[in-house]
Amino acid sequence: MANFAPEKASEDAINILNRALHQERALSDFEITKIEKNLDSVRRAGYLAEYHMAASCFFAIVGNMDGLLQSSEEVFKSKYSSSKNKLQVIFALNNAMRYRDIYNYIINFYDDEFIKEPAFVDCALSAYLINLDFNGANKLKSKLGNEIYNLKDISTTIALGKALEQFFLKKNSCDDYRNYITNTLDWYSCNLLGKARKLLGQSSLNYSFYEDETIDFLSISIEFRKGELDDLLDLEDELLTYIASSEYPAYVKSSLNIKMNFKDLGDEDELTETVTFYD
Amino acid sequence: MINPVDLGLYSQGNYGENKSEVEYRCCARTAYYSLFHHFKSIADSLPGGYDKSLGSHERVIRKLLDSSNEQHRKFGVALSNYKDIRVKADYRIDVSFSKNDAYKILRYAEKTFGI
Repeated sequence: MANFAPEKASEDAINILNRALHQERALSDFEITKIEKNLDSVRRAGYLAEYHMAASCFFAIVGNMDGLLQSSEEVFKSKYSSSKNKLQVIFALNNAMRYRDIYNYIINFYDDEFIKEPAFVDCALSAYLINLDFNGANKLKSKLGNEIYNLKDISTTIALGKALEQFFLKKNSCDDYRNYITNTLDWYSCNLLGKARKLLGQSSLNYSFYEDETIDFLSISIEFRKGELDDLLDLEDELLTYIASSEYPAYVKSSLNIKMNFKDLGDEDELTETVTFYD
Repeated sequence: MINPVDLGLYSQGNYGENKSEVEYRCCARTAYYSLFHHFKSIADSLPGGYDKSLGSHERVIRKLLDSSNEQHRKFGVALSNYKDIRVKADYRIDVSFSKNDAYKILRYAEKTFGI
């Protein structure tokens, strides 16, 4: 019998995930079955840190939030988890828009090695900004080397961070805004992410600031590149129902819109995009 | 006298193949105003007054969002979500306005009015 290599099995699973991410499409049923089989082999062989890392990546893509959060926790608490495994989990959480969870991990667990990895820096900056921790974002920025700081994606996120900081400086009660953003994105990831991935593919977050009748507004759009508008409107209707039922002051919901859109060609100011995993 | 549905129908006429950016902007703003007037008539009927310190759009949105009725709050969220399209259509002529921008709000108005 050939030797079983758990790293190879999880690597194969991640390659399938990355192929779907590159092609901006949902996983096929065949691919899901193949990944589940590989993950099961890794788990049964007792390589639990490896299993939970690869499972996190998979759960993020299919929108299984219970699975993602459980596996993420296992990776971060296991003494057998490598830095690479933890980074993969950060990417998985990013791909599921779990910015509050990323934030909690990076403030409690920090490895200076991570800031040499541009994708981590982008995820971490996004998590600080979405949690409205501008001091945290500025502290991270100050540690970046020039080669990272000047990368296009990073400098775009830094510029957006400055705009967000300016926007929220003028607002009262950042707590309400922070909870509104993070709770809404968490609700989205639990309830709509899986369906959206199947119908509309991958998404990114886009921020736009505007002023009307002397009030400053911010729109956060979850943007897709393909799919049918009626599908998007049906999913957005569920999001609107959630927001309408949530208990935030009217001025919070009115000055900060969270919605779903199709991406326009030429838009380049996304805060963060889906990250491919390490092969 | 016209009603919000008439505005919705008018906005449909500014959408389609071979339309210009001006027409897409016109489509989007008219679709927005069809929704605004429809939702304002609902807000007018709710108890309590408007916060006059706010602008004419924001006071309608806030009144709907403050309603005890979840459906009315949902109208407030929707109107609030679409106001950036109206602002872009009306004021941001320095940035391109796409068919996509117009289509989403038009389709939402069509669904709202069943047209």
